[in-house]
Amino acid sequence: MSGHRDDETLRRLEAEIPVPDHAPPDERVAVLRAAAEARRAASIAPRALPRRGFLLAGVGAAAGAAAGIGVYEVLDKDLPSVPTERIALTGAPAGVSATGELINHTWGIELLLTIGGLDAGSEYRLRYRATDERVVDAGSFVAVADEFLCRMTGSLLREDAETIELLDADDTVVVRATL
Amino acid sequence: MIRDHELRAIVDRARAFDPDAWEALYRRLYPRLHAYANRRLPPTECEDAVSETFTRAMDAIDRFRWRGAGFDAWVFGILRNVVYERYRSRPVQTSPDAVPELVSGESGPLERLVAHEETADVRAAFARLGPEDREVLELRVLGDLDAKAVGSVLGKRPGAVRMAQQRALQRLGDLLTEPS
Repeated sequence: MSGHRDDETLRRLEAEIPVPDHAPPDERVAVLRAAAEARRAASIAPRALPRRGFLLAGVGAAAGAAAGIGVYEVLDKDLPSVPTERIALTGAPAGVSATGELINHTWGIELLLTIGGLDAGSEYRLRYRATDERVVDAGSFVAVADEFLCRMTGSLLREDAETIELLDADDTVVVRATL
Repeated sequence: MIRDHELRAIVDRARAFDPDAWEALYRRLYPRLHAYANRRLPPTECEDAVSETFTRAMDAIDRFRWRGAGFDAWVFGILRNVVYERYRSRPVQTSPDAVPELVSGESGPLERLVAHEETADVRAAFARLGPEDREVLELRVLGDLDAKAVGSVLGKRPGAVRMAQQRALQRLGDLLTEPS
């Protein structure tokens, strides 16, 4: 029975390839605990938004809020440490500030959009445009008064992406980036 | 060794973002996750990859369900994505030196494969395996995941995992006995 032989071989391999039994660094544990604490606090009082810091809103925050998913408070250090590509967002109207960083995923791209000065309570949506003119929706959100961070994902590979556009409810481009 | 019902209780507490629960899960999985990451990423990136994996797990814990292959496989699946994203954005070649050393064990019927006298040969043979062969063996051995769990991570049926594992072991054995 080759299956049994394989199992036996794997057991031997386990013995021969030891997994180092070392503990995680204390500072990493501390960061993880702090992240859990922050999320617990946010889940208990999701409306208690901080004056400072970022708000991390899920994709489709408008629908999310209606469904009770809410908005998460996160600390800078909780942001993922994946490599990001800073992009230039242009055309922002007076009073609107926007910065963006792209994460190049295997399944598409994700824009970390930090934006402030939008019309609070209004809905905005993001779309990616591909080099072959395809348009890929990347979610929507309802703006809040403070600066906030949205993670906008779309099923478009980085090498195929040409522009990013944030549109208001009237389909007017608020900010855009050419990649 | 945490029993299944104990793990479920910890995960339930983790859903409520209990820091003690998250620390317990982190400490429990850290050695295996780190060992897996260490085979694919430079040492300087392994800690970040494992940390990021847990950050993502925390973000997604409300979507985790016990059906399927279990919590460990779910976390390994996240780590695999993290590693692949890092690969994609900044390609890294895993050198044979990154492969954990095999220590000589007692001789036996499987000595051709696992108790090979030349540890460097085993390391080299492992490095010469194709990425799919290496991964299935690493998930089984370093990840301590069963075939069902590996299948969950790789998106394959358990039977397909067993077949892949069998082929990988065969190829590893062939490489070891290849005349140099």
